[in-house]
Amino acid sequence: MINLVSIELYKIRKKPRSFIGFGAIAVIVLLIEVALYIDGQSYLQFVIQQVEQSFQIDGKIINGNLVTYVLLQTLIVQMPLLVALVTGDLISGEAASGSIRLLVTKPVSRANIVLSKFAAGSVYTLLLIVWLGILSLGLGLLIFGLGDLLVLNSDHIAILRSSETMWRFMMAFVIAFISLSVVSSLSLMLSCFTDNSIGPIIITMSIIILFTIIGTMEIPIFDVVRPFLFTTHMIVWRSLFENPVPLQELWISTGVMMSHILVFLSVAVFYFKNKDILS
Amino acid sequence: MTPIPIIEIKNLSKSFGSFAAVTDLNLEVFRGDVFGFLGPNGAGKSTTIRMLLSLIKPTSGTIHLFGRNLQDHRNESVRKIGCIIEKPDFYLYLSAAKNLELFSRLSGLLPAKSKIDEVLELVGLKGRAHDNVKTFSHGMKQRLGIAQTLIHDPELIILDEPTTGLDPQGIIDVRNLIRHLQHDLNKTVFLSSHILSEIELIATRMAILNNGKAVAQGNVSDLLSTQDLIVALEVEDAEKAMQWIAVTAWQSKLHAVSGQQFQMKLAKKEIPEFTDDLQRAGIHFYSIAYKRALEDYFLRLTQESSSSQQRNKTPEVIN
Amino acid sequence: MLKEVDFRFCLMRCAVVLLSILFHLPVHSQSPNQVINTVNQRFAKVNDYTAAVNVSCDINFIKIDPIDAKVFYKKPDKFKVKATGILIMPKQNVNFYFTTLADTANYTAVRTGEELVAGAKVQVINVIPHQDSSDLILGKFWIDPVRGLILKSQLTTKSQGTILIENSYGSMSNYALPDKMLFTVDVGKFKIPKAIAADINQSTAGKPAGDGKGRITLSFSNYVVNKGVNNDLFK
Repeated sequence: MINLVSIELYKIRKKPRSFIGFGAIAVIVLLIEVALYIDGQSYLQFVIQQVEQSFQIDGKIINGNLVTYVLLQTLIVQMPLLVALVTGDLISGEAASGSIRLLVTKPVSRANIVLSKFAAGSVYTLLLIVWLGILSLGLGLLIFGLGDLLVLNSDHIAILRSSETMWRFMMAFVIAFISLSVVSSLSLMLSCFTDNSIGPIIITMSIIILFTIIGTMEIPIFDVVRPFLFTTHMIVWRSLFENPVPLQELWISTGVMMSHILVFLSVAVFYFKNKDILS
Repeated sequence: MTPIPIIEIKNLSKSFGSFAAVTDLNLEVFRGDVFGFLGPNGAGKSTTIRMLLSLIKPTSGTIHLFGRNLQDHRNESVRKIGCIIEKPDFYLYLSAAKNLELFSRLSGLLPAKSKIDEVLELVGLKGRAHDNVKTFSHGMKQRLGIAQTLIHDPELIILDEPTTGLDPQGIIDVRNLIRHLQHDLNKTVFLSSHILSEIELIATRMAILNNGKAVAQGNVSDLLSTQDLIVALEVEDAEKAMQWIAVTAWQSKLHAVSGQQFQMKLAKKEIPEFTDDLQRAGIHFYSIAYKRALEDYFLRLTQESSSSQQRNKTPEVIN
Repeated sequence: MLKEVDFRFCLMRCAVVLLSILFHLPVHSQSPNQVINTVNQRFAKVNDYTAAVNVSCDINFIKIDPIDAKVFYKKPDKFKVKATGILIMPKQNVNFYFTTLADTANYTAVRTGEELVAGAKVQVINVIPHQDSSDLILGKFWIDPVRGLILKSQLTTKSQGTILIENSYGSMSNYALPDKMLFTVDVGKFKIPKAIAADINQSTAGKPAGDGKGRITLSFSNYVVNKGVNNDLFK
């Protein structure tokens, strides 16, 4: 299995599209960091003004922690696409190019092929998260310095002490990894169904957009399905920045996401095991 | 002692919906054979090969490889096989050497650099080992495909239409390579083709597949014997010739009549006697040519297949 | 608009002065200014100080843990709070009294009665600034005349509405420096655009905004008075 995973990782490493994600993250992060560095005060003007109607707010508000938080909040929208771009292609891409024929004739079980591709996709996802972490938190702290984190909500703000932020960010990256693993398992499953490389990526994004719309719209009929949509739980990383952290909510969301991964992977393995390779 | 077949297919069938791609196929391939698997396009050759390699599941029937049931011992069996299925598709963004390394590792063997060099040299690609496959021509990919079948030193090599798209020299090279594999390396080769002459030149045993069914199977020399020839003659006066044949002993050998042409089914040694009789009867002929019966049969199969393909009547799933 | 407001201030001022004169003034021997001066005399002893302060907030739209900071003061009006993190403080700094009450010529003080605050008998004195430009419209001070300490004050300002400040004193009462100050401030509704909001805590959305007040408690300790404070600290 390790041999299979390392082969899959090698293939991912050698595909030019694998670097799009890293490039996109770097561009977005640097763009936002530069913008906040130049004009961060204006970004928060509206918030600060409202607080300063009644109180005086002192301290370094634009800091590495805030920048990281803003980046996480922004990139959570783009990251699924960047992940699906690679994981959605893992099986269908090989079917489209024909290399799947050789792969499947080798003495490895099809279940192992799917699982190794998922594992390699997970490593890729993890590397994307680590890259995001290095650029946002690492570079953010380097440029903007450490400080208390001002978490902006539409009806209130929360200020977390800087000593409290590091473990929250680490956990947030772990939760973000689990969230993106749902995306990677979904796109991998879809990748088993088709022989073209773009389809699974588009369908994955369509599902995410659809579920997000259902999850966001305040229509009572959607209330029933909302708790079961993985997109509802993908944003649970934000609850790590509440005080105290709502652990139960966190566990439930993590459980729901893990269940999704399990279901998507099981369907993928079952389907791929029984699939006639006709490409 | 009866030798154990390396490939033993019993009552194998595969349907795609209502279309029967392979029907009740029985086949045996023995160690050391170069087995020609012949059939027109759409006959079910690739479907059979895909079932042999567990790419697709049979609807019914069994496959035994190396004496073991494929379904129960899949991994052990395919480990001993090297194959090309249709066109050889590689990871285009990797080099030839890296492709070979990866596929060998997938077969459970980390190949030495010398082994990679050896197989690349065998197929004439040593100088291109580190070039990305996307820069290769079709012929080079086909040769790399053969190298890939050999990298993990398998016992059985399955080649599906290996000369497709090759130039004449490439075809000769592949033919020589297959001979080398059998004679010098003692490999068993299962070779599919829709070209009879190709099979005739290198195969020891063969089967002909048509509409998913085996219509002939055996030693190539037996099947393509000169005992039974179809002799075609173009005569000056066909009516006169037919009247003469009708009253002679040759009547039982008449095969077909078409315009000024008629065909006789004769043994090779009967041809001089027949032409002498014709001349004695004052029947002049412009030309005489013969074909072997099986070749004639296969040619008709191929023609029927291509014309039916043109009419687009037969559903084509594979091949 | 401005004229209307000014007119209201004048009316309010006159009403307070009249009511105070009619009902209370004759009963007491000390004038309001004299009472205020007992406080000012204590303030006057402070040239500078430093102290540790713990700032604790109870504001419906701000969730923040208490934070430790350090305060620096130097006469006449230099003041600085230094903390390692983000600090939410009342807009009035803690030396608000020093500057507001120091010059009795700047305001009219009117005693409006006596009350018991934290077991102490206090005089309630209204302060009406003479300057219309002042943010303060009306200051109401609950002063313990015996100890010369302000136990409570209610400031009506133009910019912030009403602010209630409750003080308690300990070892530094001699300098009129409190151990604890509780600021109660009117707070408005807080709303920021969705585009920059994370909305992590959906559960708080739609909750009633409490009594519409925000509270900040400043707990002082480790006062160091009149030992000199470097001017650089206020930069």
